[in-house]
Amino acid sequence: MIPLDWYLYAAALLLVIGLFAVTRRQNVILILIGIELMLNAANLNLIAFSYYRGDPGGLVLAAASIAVAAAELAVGLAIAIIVFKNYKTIDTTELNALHG
Amino acid sequence: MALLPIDLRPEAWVTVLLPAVGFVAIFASYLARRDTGRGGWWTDGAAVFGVGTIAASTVLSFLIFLQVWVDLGPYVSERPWVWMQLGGVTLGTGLHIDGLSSLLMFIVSFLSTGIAVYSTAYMHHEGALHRYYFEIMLFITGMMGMVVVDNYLFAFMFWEIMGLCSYLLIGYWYEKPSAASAAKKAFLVTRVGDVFFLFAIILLYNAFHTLSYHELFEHIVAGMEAGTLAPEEVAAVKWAGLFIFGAAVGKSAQFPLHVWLPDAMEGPTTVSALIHAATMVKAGVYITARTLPILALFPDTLGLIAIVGAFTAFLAATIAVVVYDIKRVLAYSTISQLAYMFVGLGTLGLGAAIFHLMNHAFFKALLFLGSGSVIHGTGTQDMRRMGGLRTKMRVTYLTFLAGSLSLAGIPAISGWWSKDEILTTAARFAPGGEWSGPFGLLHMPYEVLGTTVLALGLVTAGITGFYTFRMVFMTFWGKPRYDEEKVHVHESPAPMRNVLVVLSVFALFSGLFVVAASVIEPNTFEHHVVDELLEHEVTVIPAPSDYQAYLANPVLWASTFVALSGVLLAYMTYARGIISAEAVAGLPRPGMGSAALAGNRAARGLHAFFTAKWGMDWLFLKVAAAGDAGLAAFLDFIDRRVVDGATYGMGRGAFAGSMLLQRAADGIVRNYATWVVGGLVLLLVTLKFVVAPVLGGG
Repeated sequence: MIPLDWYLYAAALLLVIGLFAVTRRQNVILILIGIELMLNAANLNLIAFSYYRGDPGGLVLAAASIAVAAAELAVGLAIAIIVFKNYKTIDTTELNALHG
Repeated sequence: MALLPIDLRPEAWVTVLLPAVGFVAIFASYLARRDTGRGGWWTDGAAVFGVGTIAASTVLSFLIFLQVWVDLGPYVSERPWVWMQLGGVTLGTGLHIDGLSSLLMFIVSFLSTGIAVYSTAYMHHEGALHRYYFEIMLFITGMMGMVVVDNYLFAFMFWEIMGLCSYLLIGYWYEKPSAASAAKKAFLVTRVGDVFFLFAIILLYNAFHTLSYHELFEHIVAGMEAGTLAPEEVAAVKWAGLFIFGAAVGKSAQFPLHVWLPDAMEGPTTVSALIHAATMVKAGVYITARTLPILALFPDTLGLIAIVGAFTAFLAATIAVVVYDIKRVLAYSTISQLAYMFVGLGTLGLGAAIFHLMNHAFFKALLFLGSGSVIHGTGTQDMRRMGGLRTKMRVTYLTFLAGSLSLAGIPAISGWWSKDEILTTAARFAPGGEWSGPFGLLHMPYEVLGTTVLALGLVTAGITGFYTFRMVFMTFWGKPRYDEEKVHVHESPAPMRNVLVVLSVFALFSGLFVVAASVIEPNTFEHHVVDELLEHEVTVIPAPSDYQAYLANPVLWASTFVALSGVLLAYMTYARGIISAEAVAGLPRPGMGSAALAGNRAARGLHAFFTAKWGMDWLFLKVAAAGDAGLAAFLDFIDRRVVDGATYGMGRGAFAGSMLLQRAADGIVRNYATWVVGGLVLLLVTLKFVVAPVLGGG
């Protein structure tokens, strides 16, 4: 049986990759993918703990999280499409109207 | 047998409520039609309503006065009306209706009614009459309230109402710069006394947790007799007594805070009458008389009161001799006569002081209203432009003469009885030991102090006789010195004349009335006025019923002699012209060589000194200007460098900081995300490695 630690390392790795995508990539689509990776890192942790503790609560929470992530992604992609229609770009370095 | 079917004493608050209702109604009508000019039914209605409320208050006050004096005796209400409760502190007031307060209630309301009636004619040509009436109504409310309440806190509130109203009324013609300045002067100078009053209240409450007169006095007097008061409590009582006297010095215009009262002449003459006779300056005497049970425990304080009074009496009288404004003569005579009352209080002649207060209230109201009538008739206040008015203003002349006889101390007229009683108590003041003055700066045996006070009082009595009749002769006798072509002197209208006649009866006979009462029952006046806690302390002059003992009093003869000499001197100088006032004062006259003028340098200097009011105004300006400039420079430094520096520094710091932080806001969303993550990591690291070890958690 694979030890719990491995799952946690894998989840941490996923989180860091996601974080890297969110903080370093310029494309909105890639940033959204990074967010998805981070969410799934959390889901992986939930499922792993649920399995090792024999507690189905984690599974339920992970299922809910996936559903919410799907909805969130839909909204995120829709925003990306609207932004592209308006600015002809989805590069975040160019979308800097918030600068101080 | 009861005098009245019901006991009115618990309803004494109605006497305060009535003028208060008058104030509220007239104020409301003022707000409703702000632009009421002169006259008209709206203004007349306000005046009539105001007079009506004070008249009703007078009737009720008189009935209460009768009940207290003839029938039922003093009344102190059991359950105070609660104003506010803060934790364990209950603030409220009850009624303290004894001989002293019921007498003052009657005098105040009676004179106020007279003055208000007189105002309806005197002020008729003025604009802004609603403002005038609601202000005097509030003024009267303040004085009535101060007299009936049973504790220092409420007395202080009503005292402050009077301070405000004196400011408003002295500045009635506020568009005149001198009036506006006089109003400010009155307000600020009396404010010095008010601060002392507040100190006294704080000291007394801190030490004894009550401000009610009878609770305080009973506790303190019993405690002092039994020696159960802690040393700091004794010190608190001593200082509170001094502070109360300080408050009275401000309100009653005693040296060195007397400077506001002569300038208060800038208000209408009726207001002067109200301030000088019925309200305001009498408040200081009242609060000192009320506090006398605890003042009497400290002979040093009494000596201070007596010596300040005697000095003020002399100072004010000397100035009254040289001024030419008829109202200013009266103003300085008020200061001088109030000072006599303080001499009486300071030498424990409470009955004599209150007797003088009563007589002075009547004759000074009469004199002021009489001077108002003169001003009304001639259009000037300068006595050098009057003269010969006695044929043209017959009623004014005769009534003014009645007031002057009383003020000058002509035998058997009211002022004579009370002034002599005060001087006699001063002569008998001998607590034994040595008086130690303010901060231990002055030391003298009490015999010396008593003699000094008596000597100053006697000299002042002579000067009083002189300046009073100087005023009478300059105004009413001799030849007219005004321009008869331009000024048409006329007698005043009926309401003014009637008030003068009624008041002159009181001014002539109020003393005789009290004396007659004491013939029936010896010392009945003192008995009613003096608090029972004080009865064994005060000096009581034998009643004139024992006329042999009364006439054997040398002070009586001396003061009568000097007063009559003063009157005679004034007669020779101003009525007959035998003595030239200018020659005595060393002033230049036509046809006089420069050598003769030079020879009179000393006399001229003295005259200039008196005319400059002993330099008090100059001194105040100097001290105030120098002290003010230093204080202002210091405060300016604090304000601009320290306070402004702190606030501007904070602003500049925040601005510089935000300029730095602004660089972080580059508008690139992923960089924001980096900051968020960085902050989160920093937070977690801090929690793990800094907070957790300190708290001892995992």
